[in-house]
Amino acid sequence: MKKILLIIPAYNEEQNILKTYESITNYNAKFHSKYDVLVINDGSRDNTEKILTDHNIPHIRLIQNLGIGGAVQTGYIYALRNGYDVAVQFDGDGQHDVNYVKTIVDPILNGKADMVIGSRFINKDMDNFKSSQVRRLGIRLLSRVIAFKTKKKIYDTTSGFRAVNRDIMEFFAQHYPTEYPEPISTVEVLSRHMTVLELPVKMKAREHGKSSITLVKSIYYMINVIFSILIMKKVK
Amino acid sequence: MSIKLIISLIVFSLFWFFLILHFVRKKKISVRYSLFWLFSAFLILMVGLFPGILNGINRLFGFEVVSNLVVGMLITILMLITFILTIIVTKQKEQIRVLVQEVSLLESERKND
Repeated sequence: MKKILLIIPAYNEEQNILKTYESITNYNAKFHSKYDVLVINDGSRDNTEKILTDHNIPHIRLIQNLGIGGAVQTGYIYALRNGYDVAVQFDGDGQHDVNYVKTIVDPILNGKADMVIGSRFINKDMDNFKSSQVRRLGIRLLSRVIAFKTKKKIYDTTSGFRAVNRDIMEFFAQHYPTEYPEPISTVEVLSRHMTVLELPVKMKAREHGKSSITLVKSIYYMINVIFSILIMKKVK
Repeated sequence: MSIKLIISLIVFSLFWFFLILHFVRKKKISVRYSLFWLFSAFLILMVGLFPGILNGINRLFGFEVVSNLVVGMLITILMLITFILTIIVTKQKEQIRVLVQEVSLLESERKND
């Protein structure tokens, strides 16, 4: 039996985290799957830690806030050291649907890909995700930049719903961008000649709380990410 | 360069020198990082003692007045030092990240035992 870990980064997610966790345990009970869960509490200042402890949810409390990159990376280090075959990055805010975990994990188990990205945009029929025009424009621009750099088209460049094998876990445990990690780490994986597959999934709009990316931050986001990608060294 | 500027440079650089040494003795600055500051004090002192060097150097840069070269030099030194500091900060951020991750992983292991 292959070991699969769902890494859930959580920063001030008191309203969503229990629901997310229960959706996974319910799925496990219903389909006899054995997805392990590890929540990374990234120094939340609300009741996230209390909820995690009270409900016996497996978690790591970061003693300082590290930001999304450092939090997720902690999960990859844990997965690597505890012999997991597949690590899945899963959002704690209810955007990701546990029913699609199998979709992105299967190609890893079959050895068809090193990394699978759950994509909102690859299949137009499944695209019911509400996001602003500006946001989509940004995602499309990043898609162009990545294609220019790697000759590979990635549609949902900022998707945080991803599954990776042990090779990539090992790489991510060593190198993982601190800020805005998804598009940058995708390019790093591609430039190391590992295979990335993008498969259609449905995502929900978040129910509580607001996205960590505000309008002011998004300009800095775009400059940061595009610059990071363009200056990246090619690996032979 | 006016004699006043020369005297100012010498007085300032000597003051600077002893201030840095004082902090190194009190172990408020490590020897390693004090070295580039001491080097900056040394450069300023040299300019004060041998202002003639500047005329030579200025032929290369072409400042209208030599005193502007002094200002330019000081700004260049400051830029270099702040840049080195940014490199150090980046490295320390990385080290802190690894520390936080390892301590947090250990702590969760300890709780589960």
